[in-house]
Amino acid sequence: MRSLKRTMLYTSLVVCVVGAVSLPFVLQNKSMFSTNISETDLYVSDINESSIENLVVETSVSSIDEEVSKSDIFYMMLNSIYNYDTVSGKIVDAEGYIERPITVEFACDLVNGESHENVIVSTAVLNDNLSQSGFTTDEIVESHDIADVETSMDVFCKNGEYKNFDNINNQVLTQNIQIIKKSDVAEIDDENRITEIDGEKCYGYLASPSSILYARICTQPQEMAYGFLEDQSLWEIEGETEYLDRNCYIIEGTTEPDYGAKLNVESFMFLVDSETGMLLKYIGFDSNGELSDYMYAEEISFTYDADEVNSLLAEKQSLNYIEIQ
Amino acid sequence: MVTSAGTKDVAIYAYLAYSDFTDPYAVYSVNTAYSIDSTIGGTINQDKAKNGWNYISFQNVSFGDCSVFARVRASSISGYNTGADAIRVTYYD
Repeated sequence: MRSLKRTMLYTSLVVCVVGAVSLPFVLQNKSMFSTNISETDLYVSDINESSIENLVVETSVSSIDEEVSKSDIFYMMLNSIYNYDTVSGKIVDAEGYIERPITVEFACDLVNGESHENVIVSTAVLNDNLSQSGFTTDEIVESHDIADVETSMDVFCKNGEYKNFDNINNQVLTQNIQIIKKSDVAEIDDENRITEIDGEKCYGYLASPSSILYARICTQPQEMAYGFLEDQSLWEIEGETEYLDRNCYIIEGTTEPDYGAKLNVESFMFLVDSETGMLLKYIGFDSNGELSDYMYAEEISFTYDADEVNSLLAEKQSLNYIEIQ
Repeated sequence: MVTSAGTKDVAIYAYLAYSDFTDPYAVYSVNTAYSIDSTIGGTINQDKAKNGWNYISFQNVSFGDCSVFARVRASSISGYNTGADAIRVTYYD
């Protein structure tokens, strides 16, 4: 029934937004509402408005690589950091507040233990049609202006120092820290990922090299893997698709009751990068089928521009922010 | 807690049970009491992590001859509750 409802909503949304509203998120997630995703589908490919030229309006969903198991994807997400050395990009993460997304532009070098994250938290106005339907994301980010920004910070981890520049209050916090490089990360064997302490489960997390923090949900999605995918009877690999020029596995499922109740998420969709295990998109729906949580990458590249990070740091340091403890 | 000077391997475990702890960027660390230097032990998304014990860090850390404590640092973003149901620190010489 929910699938039918979503299909109807989705169809009506597509009709509503053609030529009017940018809606890459909805358009890219046809798989959520498709009953047969093993087919290759072209989707709304005849939209000719230049304003939405950059939107992905064509979604190709292919059949599953039969050699990929659920365990493969589960452990690939847990071990994602072993599949790349550098990564840069931009994510939008609701973290439970769909009208107040956190936008993170990040760059990190896991080998040398360096990172920069620019974090913006801003309120947003939902498009009425979208908020009712529960399908929103990219347009949220487009709809705020600078007055809506409640948090803006630049966080650098470099040369054993953690610097957090608060761009709203012109303050900077500096701490000496032990920044972990990729080679410092203590490995955890797959079979020891979930153990027990005093009769309770213990989930093993790899450390976060380069101390990247705000983009971890994308770059090192261990909590998401444990939380949503531990019970493999609750989700399916629905196919593969291209997203941000990356091949991704499409995962759809439902949550364990207690976990879902905490997050207000009953069903979900993931796009998992098939080479690295990074989580490039997550959509969560509540028990009414309404959008209740999301995260998606807007940009991703497996590069790190050290000169640019150095330049940004020098620029921030030149602004005479007040040092705080 | 008091520990003697030197380097030790340290494992940090965070216990999560209370559903109102929702800080997605909570940082757990072990610190030397008389220094502002802070050794970041590890981070966990308290909102998305499952209930139970979470082994979040294993590091070799240098300690001075002073007391040692574990702590949780809240994120800089409002709207989330940071807490610690329990923290377990295991030292190995």
